[in-house]
Amino acid sequence: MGVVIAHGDVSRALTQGLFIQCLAHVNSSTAPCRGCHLNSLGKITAKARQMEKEAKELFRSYLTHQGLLTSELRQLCDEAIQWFPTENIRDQPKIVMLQELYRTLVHMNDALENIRKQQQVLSTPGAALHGKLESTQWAVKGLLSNTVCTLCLEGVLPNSRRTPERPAATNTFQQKIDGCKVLGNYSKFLKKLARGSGKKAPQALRDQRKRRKGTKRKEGSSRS
Amino acid sequence: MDHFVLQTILLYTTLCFSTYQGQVPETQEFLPTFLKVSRNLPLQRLLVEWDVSDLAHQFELEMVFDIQVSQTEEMNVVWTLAVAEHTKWLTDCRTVKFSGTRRNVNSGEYYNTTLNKLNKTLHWSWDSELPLECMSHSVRIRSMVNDERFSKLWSRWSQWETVLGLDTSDDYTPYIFPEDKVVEEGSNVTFCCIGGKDSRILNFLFNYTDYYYPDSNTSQRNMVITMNKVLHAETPGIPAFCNISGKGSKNYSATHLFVGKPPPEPKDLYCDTRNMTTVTCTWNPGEDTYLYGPYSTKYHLFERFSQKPLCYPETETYLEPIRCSWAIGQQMIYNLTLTAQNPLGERSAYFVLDVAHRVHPFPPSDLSVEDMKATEVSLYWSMQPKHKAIKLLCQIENRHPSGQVELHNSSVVQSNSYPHLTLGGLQPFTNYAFRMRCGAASHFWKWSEWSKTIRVRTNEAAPSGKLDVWREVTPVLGGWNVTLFWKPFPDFRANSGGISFEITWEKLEKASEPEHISISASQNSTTISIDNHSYKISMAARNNITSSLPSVIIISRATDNGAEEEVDHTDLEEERVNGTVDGIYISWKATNAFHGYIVDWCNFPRSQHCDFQWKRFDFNTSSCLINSAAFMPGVRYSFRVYGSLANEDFFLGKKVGYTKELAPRLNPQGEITEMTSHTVTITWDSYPINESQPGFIRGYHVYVKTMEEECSLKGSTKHALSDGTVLCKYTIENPEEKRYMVKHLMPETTYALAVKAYTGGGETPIDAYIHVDTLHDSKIYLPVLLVMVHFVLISAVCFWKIKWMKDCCCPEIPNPNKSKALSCNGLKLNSEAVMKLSDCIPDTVVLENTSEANTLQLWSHGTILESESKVINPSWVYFVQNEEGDLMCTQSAPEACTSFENLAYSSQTALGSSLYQNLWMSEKSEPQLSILSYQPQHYIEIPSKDTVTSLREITEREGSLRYISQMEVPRSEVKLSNLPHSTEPLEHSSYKIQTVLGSELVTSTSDEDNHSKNSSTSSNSTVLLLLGRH
Repeated sequence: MGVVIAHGDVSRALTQGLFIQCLAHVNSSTAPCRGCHLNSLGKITAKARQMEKEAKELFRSYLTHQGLLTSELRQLCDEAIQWFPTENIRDQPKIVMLQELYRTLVHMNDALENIRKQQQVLSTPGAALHGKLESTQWAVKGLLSNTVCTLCLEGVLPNSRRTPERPAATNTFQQKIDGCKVLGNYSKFLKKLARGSGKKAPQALRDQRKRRKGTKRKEGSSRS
Repeated sequence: MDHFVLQTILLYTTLCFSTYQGQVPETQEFLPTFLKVSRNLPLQRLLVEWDVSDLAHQFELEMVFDIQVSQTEEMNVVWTLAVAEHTKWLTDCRTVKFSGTRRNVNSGEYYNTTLNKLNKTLHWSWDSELPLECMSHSVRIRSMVNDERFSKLWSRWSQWETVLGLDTSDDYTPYIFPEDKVVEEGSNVTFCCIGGKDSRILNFLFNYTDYYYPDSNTSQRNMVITMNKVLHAETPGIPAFCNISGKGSKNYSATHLFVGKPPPEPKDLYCDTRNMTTVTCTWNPGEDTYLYGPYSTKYHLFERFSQKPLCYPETETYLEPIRCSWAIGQQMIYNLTLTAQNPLGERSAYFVLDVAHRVHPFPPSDLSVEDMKATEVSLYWSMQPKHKAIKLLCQIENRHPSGQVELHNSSVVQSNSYPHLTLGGLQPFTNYAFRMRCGAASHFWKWSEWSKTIRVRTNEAAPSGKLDVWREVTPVLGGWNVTLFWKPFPDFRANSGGISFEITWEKLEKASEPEHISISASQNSTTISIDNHSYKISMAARNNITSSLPSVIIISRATDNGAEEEVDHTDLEEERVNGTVDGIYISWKATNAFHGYIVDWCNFPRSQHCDFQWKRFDFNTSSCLINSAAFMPGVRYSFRVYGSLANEDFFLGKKVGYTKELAPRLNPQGEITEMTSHTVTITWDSYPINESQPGFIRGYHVYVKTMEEECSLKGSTKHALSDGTVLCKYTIENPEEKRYMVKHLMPETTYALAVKAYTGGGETPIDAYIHVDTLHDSKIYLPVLLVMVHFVLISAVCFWKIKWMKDCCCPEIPNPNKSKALSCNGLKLNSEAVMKLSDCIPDTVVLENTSEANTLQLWSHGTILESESKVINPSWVYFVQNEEGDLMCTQSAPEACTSFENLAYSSQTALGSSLYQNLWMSEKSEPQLSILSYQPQHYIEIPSKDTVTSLREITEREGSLRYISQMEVPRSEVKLSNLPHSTEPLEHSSYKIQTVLGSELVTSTSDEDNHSKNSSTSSNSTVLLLLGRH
C-alpha cells in the first residue's frame, strides 16, 4: 500500500504540476494551457478508442500468460474494482466526467505500476506481457495528460480526492487475481468511454439533425 | 578422578537422605515440567521447552526424554524422539491419521544434552513437513535417567501441550498453506486447504489442470495433499487452488508454488582493470534458476584481506553477464569471495586477484598517418592511462586490398607517451587499412579492443614488372593485321591511377621510323596493320611517373615461320584431344629448341567476341590441362600451340576437343536418291561435320523399319527401341560417307528409313522416318514371256511346215508303223509286237564325258560308253536320223535299248533345279540361265533335223517338266508297259511327284540348288508380302 500511495502521490504531483503550469500560462499569456489541443475532448475520445483495443488485448494476454483461462480462475477476474466508476461517465456532465476520468486514470496508473512489479516474480524476464504493461502505462499517462489539458481548458482544477483502497494482497496469487480484476475493469471502462454516452447520444443526434436542417434552410433561402 | 569419587559420594549421600525422608525412592522419576510449545511459522518449526527438577540438574544427570508430537485433536502421535546419550539412537515409527489423508512418519533423531547445574530450560524443535497452520499440534514428554545407578524406568507422560491449527477456528475465512513457498525442483510439497467454519473443500486444483478431491470419510473442512517431485513451470508460480463451499464470502483459497533451483556456480568469472583506477569483475550467472524478482539469485563479492564487501549486484536475467566494480587504492592484491544466493541455497567461489596481472588497456586512440611515401608510412597514436604510466606492447594490423592481413608488433611503449611506428615494404599507390591494439607488456593479460580503422593510399611510383603480350596474325592484302592482346604478368603493378599502354613497332630488316600508338587502360587488345616485312613490336605500360619495361614480340615476314604459319598451317590437320569436366588436356612435343610454349584458345569460339585467351608454359612443360569456367559441354574448342624463342613464336600444332561431347542436335536430312525393287539409296550430302557439331561426328546409323517384328535384312543388326520396336541398323563409320544403299528389300513394300549421326556423346533418339515403297519386280514375268515366245515360234514353224508335219506325224492312215518317227525296222507297236534291239541300227554314237552326262545327259546325242553305263543308268535309246532322213532307233548297248527313260524322272537333280531356276529367276542365276537358254535350242533344232519327237513334248519339256511327267509319260508308259525292263518309270513316276518340288527345296546343296533355295525364299517372301499388304 505504501508503494502504491507513493506512486499515486507522484502521479498526482505531476498532473497538478502540469495543471499549475497550464494555469500559469493562462495567466501569463493569451494562450492558456499551452501545449493543449483545443479539441482535447475529441482527442480523449479518439485516444480512448485506440486504447480500448489495446486494453482488450492486454487483458487477454494477461489471462493467457497467468494461466487464468480455466473457468474457476477466470471468474475471479469478473469482480468489480471499487475505484472504477460503476456508471458510464460519459453520461455525466462534462466536468464531472472529466474529473471522474482523471481520478480513474490516476488509480489505473498506480495499479499498472503495481502489476508490473508483481510480474517481476510471476513472469520470466523476457515475457511479452512486460512490454504490453509498459505500453499500456504510457498510454494511460498520455490520456491522463489529455484529461488534465481538457480540465485546464475548462478552467477546472483536477480533483485530488481519492477513493481509499484495500490493503494490497501479500499472497502472490491474490495479487495476480487483483491485477486481473484491474485489467478486466479497465477494459470495460475504456469500452464505455470510447463508445460515448448511452443516454445523451439521442439528444446529441437531435442537435446534430437540427444543425443540419438549419444549414439546409439557409442554403435554400440563399438559392431563392 | 577425585572429583568423580566426590561426586558419587555426594550423590549417594543426597539419595540416602532423600530415601530417608521418603522423597526419592529407588524408582526416582524426574517428570518433565513447565512444558511449553510454540511455532516458528516462517520456518515451519515447532519449538518445545521444558524443565526437570532441580535435583537432576544438580547432579548433572544424563537423561533420556521421550517426546511425542501429535497432530489433530485426536492426538495421533506423529513423532517420538528420545533425547539421550549420544551413543544410542532410537527409531520410532508411528502411523498417524490425518483428517484428509494417511501418512507414515518414519524418522528418528538424537539430541545430545547433558543437564547442568545452571538449571537451564531444555529446548527442542521439530520441523514439520505439513504446514503447522493446517492443524493442531500437541507435544508431551516423559523422561528416564540414563545412569547405571538408577533403574531405567520411564517417568509418567507430561500433559499434552497443544498449539491450535486454523482448522479449529470459528473464522469463516478460507486458507491454503504453504503460501508462496519456494521449493527446489524435484522435491515433495504438502499443501493443506482449510475452509472456514462449516465449510467444505470441494476440490484442489494444482498447476491449472490437475484436480484432486478430498476423502469422503473426513470432515472435509481440511484437506491435506502432497505433490511429489514438482517441476518448474513455464510461467513462474504454479497455482494451487482450493474450491470451497460454505458460508464465507470467499469460496476459494489459492497460493503459488515457486519451483526453482539453487544458484549455480558463477561461470566465466574474471576481473581486470582498464585504467589502473578501478577493477571490474565479470561473471555469468550460469543456468536459469527459474526464480525471478525477489527470489532471483543475489550476489555479493567479499574481500577477505580488508574484510569488506565490495558490491551486491543482482541478476536481471540469467543470460546477461554480471559486473562488479570498485576503486583500486593502494591495494593491488585481493582475496575475493563471490557468493550467489537465492531462497534455495548459496554457492561461493574464492579467488585471488593481482591487479598488475589483469591489465586490459583501453583501445589506442588518435591513430594517424604521417610521412606518407610510396612504400612506407609512419603511424602515430595515443594510449591510456596517462596518469599512471604502464608499459604496453601494441600490434598494428595492415589489411591489404586483397584481404590479406599483416600484423606488426611495436616495441614496448609507455602508456603516457605519444609513440609512432614506421611500416615499410608497402606497395605504391595501394589502399591500406590500419588499426591497432595494445596489451600490457609485462604480465600480458588481454589485448585491448581494436582502435578505429584508418585507410590510406600510398604514393605513386613507376610501373613494375612487364606485360604479357600475345598476338593473332591475320593475312590481308599486302600484309598482315596483327591483333595484340595483353594482360599483366603476376608481378606487374601499375603503381599509379592513370595508366596507358604504349605500343611501338618497327621493321627488323632495315631501319625505319618506328610507329607508335597509345592505348587507354580500359582496353586489353588492339589491331595494327603491317606489311610483309618482319616487325618487332614493343609494348609497355606508362603511368604518371614513367613507363614499365617493354615486352617484345617479333612477327616474321611471310616466308618466315612466324607469319607463314598463319597462312599455311590453318590447313594443317587438327589433332583431336580428349576433354573431361576438369578441362581439356593438351600435349606437345617439348624440345630444347624453345624457351617456352604458348597455348591460345577462345573461351567462346562461337561468339564474335570469342574472349581470346593464352597461357605461357616454361621450356620443360609438354602438356597442360586447359580449363575455364566458360567451357561448356558440346562446344568445340580449338587450341593452338606455339613454341617461343627469343620473342619469336612458332606454330607447333592445332588441337581441337570438347570438354564433353554431346549427341548431334541436328539430324542428317536424308533423301531417297535411288530406288529399285530391292534397294533404296539414301543420301544426306548437306550434313555438316564441322565445329558446329556438339561432338566429333564419328559416323552414321541408317535405321530401317520393316513391317516385320524382327529385323531380317541381310547385313544389318538389330536395334531395339524403348517402345519395343525392332529396327534394322546399318553403321557407316566414315563421317565423310553420306550415302548408303539399303539392299535386300522386298519389292512393292513400304519401309521407313532414318539416318542418325553419332558422336562421342552418342546420338539422339529417332524422331522422324522417311517412308518409301520399293518398286514392282518386272523379272518375275520373264520366264512366262520366254515360254510364250517359244510357243509362238514353234507354232509358226509348225504352221509353216504343216504339210510336212502332217505327213510325218499324222499320215492319212494313222498307223504307227508308218510313222517315220518310229520307223525302226521290225518294230511294231501293236499289242504283240516286240521291238527287237537288233533292228535298231544307230546312225551315230556320241561319247560324252561323265560330267556332261550328269548335267545334260538327257539331251546328249550319241552313245554312252559301257564303262559309264553303270553311272548313267539306265542306258539310253537314241533317236538318230538315218540316211533317209528318218529317225532311227539305235541301241547304245545290248541292254540299254530295252526301255525308255522318262525324261522327267531321270533328270530330277539337274533338270529339276534348272526348271525351278527357269521359273524363279534371280540376279545370281545367270549361269543356269545360260544352260536353260541352251536347252531349248535342242528342241528347236530337233524339228529342223526332222526328229520324230513330238513338238508338244518338246514344248512341254521346255516350259514345264512337271507337265510332261504328268501327262505324257503315263501315256508312253501305257504303250511301253509291256516292254521288258520297263517297270522303273512307274516307280519314277511315283517318286517324281514327291521330289520335283520337295527335294529341290530342301535337300539340294549345289550352287544351283542354293539359287533355288533363294528363289524359293523369294517365292515365300512374295506370299508374305501379299499377306502383309492385306
